[in-house]
Amino acid sequence: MEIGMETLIVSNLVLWVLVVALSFVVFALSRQIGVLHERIAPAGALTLSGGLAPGERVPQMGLRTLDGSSRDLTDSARNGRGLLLFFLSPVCPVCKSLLPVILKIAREERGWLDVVFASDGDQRQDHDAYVETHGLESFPYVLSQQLGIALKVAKLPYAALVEADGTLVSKGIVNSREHVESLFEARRLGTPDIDQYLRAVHPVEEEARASAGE
Amino acid sequence: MTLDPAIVLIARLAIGCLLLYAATHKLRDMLAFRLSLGAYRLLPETIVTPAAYLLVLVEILLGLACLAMWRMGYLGAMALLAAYTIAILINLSRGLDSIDCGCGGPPQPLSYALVLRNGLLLIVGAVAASDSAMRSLGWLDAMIIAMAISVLAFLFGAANLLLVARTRFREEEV
Repeated sequence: MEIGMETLIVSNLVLWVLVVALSFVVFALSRQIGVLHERIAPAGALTLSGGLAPGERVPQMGLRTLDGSSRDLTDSARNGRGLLLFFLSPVCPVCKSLLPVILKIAREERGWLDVVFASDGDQRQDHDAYVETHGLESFPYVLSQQLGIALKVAKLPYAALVEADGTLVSKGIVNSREHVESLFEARRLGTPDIDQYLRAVHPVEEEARASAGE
Repeated sequence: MTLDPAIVLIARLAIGCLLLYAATHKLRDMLAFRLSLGAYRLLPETIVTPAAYLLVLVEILLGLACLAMWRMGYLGAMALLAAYTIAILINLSRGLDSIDCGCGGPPQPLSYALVLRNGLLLIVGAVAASDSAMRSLGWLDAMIIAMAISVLAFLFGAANLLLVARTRFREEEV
């Protein structure tokens, strides 16, 4: 059987083009998996019990910001403003990926909300460099172990939303935009966490699921 | 070992591009790279910052050497990859797997999958460092080389995205 050289070359090229196209599709699909996964992540911030509970008033606590000024935890409430505390660490990758979300919220809600970044550790220069790299100069950035202990911050990134009257609305580990937004959703719905709200709204489904052994 | 020149050329260009890509990623967020290098806890704190800049410089020089077809480039690239992989393995064995790998791009904790990825890259490096047989290359070879490199780039990108997605799953199961 005689196959022309040209046929083989054409066949080879066609196959290559198809392989390139296929690998592009695999790449695009992998991207979609990442995006999809962010979308379907649990919608509520994970709240671990312990520490200050939602509805409780935040205590007075003197804090010192990186630029040297002092700030009390209740300062925002005294000025009739809400407060979003974002706990981060310069070495925490997820914290970094959430910074744009926090900055956007700070911009959109500046009418009533203060945003304070909180961390701990004694590597001052790392925090300074972090603030500079990510343009956080206009926000208070406090280093305090005491604050983390009061809210029982176990894992980072962690966020807590305080109402303008000084009571804690909601807090929890936040890994995505949806988690951060759930804190504000909790404020809107008047319930400390979304899971609790869903249980209250759909008790029947919950029971059905419970009896199904889930 | 003597391999077909087209195959060797694919590996050489791919390793060169990879090094330059890695270097630009690190340059874009030097602070993140410095911090992750510090978090590996392998270097004394005082030399972490100069070491970070030195590593990026080495990546750029090795990348250019690879594209210029210098044999030292491939051997250097393999040594660097092996060093990174050993650093990852040391920290995995210490249980320090929650630190960012510092690979550039989306944050990604350490994992054995990364070790596997680097192992595959080391094979590409070995192909790049081997001798190529004598054969004149035509237009068909040029096209095949170009397409093979784009396939490798897509697959490398896809592997990284899947690694990131996988670690996200792991995070949420905790």
